[in-house]
Amino acid sequence: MTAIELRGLSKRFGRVRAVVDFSLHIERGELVALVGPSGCGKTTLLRMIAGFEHPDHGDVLFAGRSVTDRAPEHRRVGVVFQDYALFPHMSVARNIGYGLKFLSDVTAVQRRRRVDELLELVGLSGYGERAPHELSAGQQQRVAIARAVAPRPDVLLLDEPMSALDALLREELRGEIRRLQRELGITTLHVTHDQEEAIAVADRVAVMKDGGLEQVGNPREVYFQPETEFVAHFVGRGNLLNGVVAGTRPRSVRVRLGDGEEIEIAQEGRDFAEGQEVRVLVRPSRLGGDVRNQNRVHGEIAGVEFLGEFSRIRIRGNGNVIQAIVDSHDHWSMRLGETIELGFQSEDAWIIPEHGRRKE
Amino acid sequence: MDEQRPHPVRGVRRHLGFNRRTTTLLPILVALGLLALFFYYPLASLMGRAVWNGGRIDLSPLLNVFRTPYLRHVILFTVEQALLSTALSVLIGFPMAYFLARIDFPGRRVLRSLTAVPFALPAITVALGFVMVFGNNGAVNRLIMSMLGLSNPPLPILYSVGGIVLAHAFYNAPIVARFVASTWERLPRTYEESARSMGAARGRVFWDVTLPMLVPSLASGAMLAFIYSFLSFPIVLILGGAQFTTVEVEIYRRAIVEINYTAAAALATWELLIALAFTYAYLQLERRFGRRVRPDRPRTARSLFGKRKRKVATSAEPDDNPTPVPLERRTGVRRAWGVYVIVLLYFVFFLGPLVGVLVDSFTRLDAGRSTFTLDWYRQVFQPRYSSLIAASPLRSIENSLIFALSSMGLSLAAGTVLAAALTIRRFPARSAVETLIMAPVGISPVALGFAYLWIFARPPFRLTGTPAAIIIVHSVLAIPFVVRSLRPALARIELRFAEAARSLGATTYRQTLDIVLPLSRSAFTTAAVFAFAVSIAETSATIMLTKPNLLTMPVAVYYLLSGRQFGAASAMGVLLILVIALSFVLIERFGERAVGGVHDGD
Repeated sequence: MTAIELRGLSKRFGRVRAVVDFSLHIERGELVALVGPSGCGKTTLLRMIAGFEHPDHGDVLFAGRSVTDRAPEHRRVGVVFQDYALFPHMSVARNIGYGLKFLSDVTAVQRRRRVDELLELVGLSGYGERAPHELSAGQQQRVAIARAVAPRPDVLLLDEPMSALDALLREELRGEIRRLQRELGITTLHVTHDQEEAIAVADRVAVMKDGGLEQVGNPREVYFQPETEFVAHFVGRGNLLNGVVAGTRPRSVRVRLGDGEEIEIAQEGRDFAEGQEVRVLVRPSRLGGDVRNQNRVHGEIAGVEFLGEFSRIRIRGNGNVIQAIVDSHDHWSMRLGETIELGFQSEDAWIIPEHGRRKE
Repeated sequence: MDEQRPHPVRGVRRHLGFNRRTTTLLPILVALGLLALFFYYPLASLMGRAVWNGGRIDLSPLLNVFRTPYLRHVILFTVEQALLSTALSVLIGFPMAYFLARIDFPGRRVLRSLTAVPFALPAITVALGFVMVFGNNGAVNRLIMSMLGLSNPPLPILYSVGGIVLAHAFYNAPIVARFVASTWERLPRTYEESARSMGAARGRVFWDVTLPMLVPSLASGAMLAFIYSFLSFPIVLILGGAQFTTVEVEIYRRAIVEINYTAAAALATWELLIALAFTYAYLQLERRFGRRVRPDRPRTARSLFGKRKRKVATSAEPDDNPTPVPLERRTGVRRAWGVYVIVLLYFVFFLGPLVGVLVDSFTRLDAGRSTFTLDWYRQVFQPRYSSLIAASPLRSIENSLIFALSSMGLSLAAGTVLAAALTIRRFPARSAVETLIMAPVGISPVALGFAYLWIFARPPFRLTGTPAAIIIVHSVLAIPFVVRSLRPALARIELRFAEAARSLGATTYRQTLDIVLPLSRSAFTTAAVFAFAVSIAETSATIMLTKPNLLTMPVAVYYLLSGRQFGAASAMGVLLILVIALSFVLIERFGERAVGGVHDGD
């Protein structure tokens, strides 16, 4: 069942078009991450869903009913902001209990109980009487989440909730957000500019660019099968190889690379035409030294970066610089300037279909 | 070279070369000593005068103040009008803050600069403006009379409580507005939005979330408005007439008109005690609230002077240039008619008196018809003796400029040393010392001028009738402004800049020259102009000490006004306003505003 439907939303501020004809369905209980570079309009989108902005065009529907003209306080939406916005003049408990005051069927006693429950849920039992500024950033964020979900909203909106935290805490908390979201079964839109965070926590990832939806899909699809070059670049590192379609078959496409080498890619042949210029994405982790792979690229080792368990190597082929992630154990034998050959499976390459076929 | 290398642990102060006790302590002691000599000693002797009579302590003059029904009435009236003025200032200033902070309308920037009016306008010209606009022969009354064909002015605002309170609100509402708006603007929208999304309606959000966070600045602004109204002198002197007298005016009358020093000293002593109590309360209020409720995230960048970055926003001077709320976030944009009407009313209210003075300075009234004239300006610029002001008007302009420039130099020198000392050094009772330095803000200038009146007449000073007398008073009154302008800038210079300079090979001297001064240059400009403006606008203390050869522009305005030379008073007032406006344009161009680059981009 669709919990949130965005139908052709547009919003402009003066001459800036913040959101352009944006449509998206979010299923009930689903966690969708909305990613995009800063300034792409994702926060504006979130604010239209929350009711803080009114769209110029389009409609916001909750459970099939339009809420476009409904005031924020009547939307049953919980919002966690980047700065948490914990009221500095209220204790932690009063912050969490604030939204419960507006529910007519919740008595003061029930309210207190619910606040205690939530404090426990986010692991802050006993912190109720503290002032927000007495808590650490991570704790404040938990309070913000508890406060947002306290009135049992239908929808939870997270606006870059991690950006004020350091990397380690971020990883810890994103797991926790995921756990909470599953436990509460609450439909969630998580806005972030951090693609790693997005693919780590989300059921589906929506990539936004210049106010429009670039691609939406599960994290694997978005990572390995981006619809556009923008998505390929934005969601993680990747190698983009220039080539020309040399031949098509029902389940595979042959592409001739710049150096004349031909590679085979497992994609629908009828989507491409012979002689068409294409760009092929191969994620660095998919390149390896395995000789059984059908496809090969070779070149000179131009750089080796030791990352601990793995190493990143850069290979300069004919015109292309290719990155690969290899087992650090292997890299001890590699020397700069040495020629190396790497292979990949036809399933691990992806022709970016830009301007061609599009999903949804 | 090697011995100059800083010890790794002793750190900061050593880096900056501020540990050399002699180099820092000496100027501080000199500055404090001057302050003691020229501020605390006069006040002390003023109080002494009130209680020391014929070689023994005699409290009867002090107690007489409360035994005399008339003086009791004066004190009560002073408090009463100050309370009323504060209430009206809040009533006018609070909505104005809302407009400035949350609504996008054409002319928003202009309205914002209008809030600088009280800092820019000498009270004497405000009083003059109110006479021109609301006086019995003023624009408002004449307009209504001609419209309705009345023969008597329908709104006798002049010489009434209403006139005094209205003028004080004109003066103080912008202060309230500035204080509140600077917090309001900084208040992230997300507070209100969170509350909305949790189910609170607009009005509820205001009471539960917005207002509690504005209360500290509202209280600070109101407190300041109260203190200013309590100590207001020229406005009551002119608008109160014979009937309405506050403590300030009463001191002036007793000392200058009746030459009854003992009574005046007793009154001044009470006033000082009351005003000091309020000023202390104000500082406490600011300190307490400043700590507790800070909507913005804590900044962690370290300051060059002192351990943590000072929270600049909690100081009394509201930051003029807060991080602008991006237009995208300004959702409160409602271009309703109501907005325009209210904004228009604000403009009329705040510009009316100014326009009144300006128009009047070019107008001659002949048999009910007004004609354009330059006569008043000709009168003002004439070097000939005028019996009314017992000097030549041109001389007063000359005097004003000389006094202003001299006291600017003096207060800048002393203020810089004190500001640096307060920011750099951590010494016991620093906040007490700070209060001592800032105290002239909360002191009645009339009382101070009165204290000088007889101190300067005796040895060791013997300064009566010399320009030094006026320059010293003006400097003492300007020092707090200098310190206030410089401190945030000094506190804001980040340690890393200085460290970077040191690591690149700069010596202490070069570092001061290349890093500290350039980064606080705009603050110095602000401080200098403030000092200049304080001096040139000063009326109350000057009027106590003035002699024909020491006449200044504001005092000349008062004399001309008392002699009912409205046109000439207006012309002199316009000149005064122009000079001050010019100095504020300087601040605007070169002042604090330009320091944006020093902020840490957090």
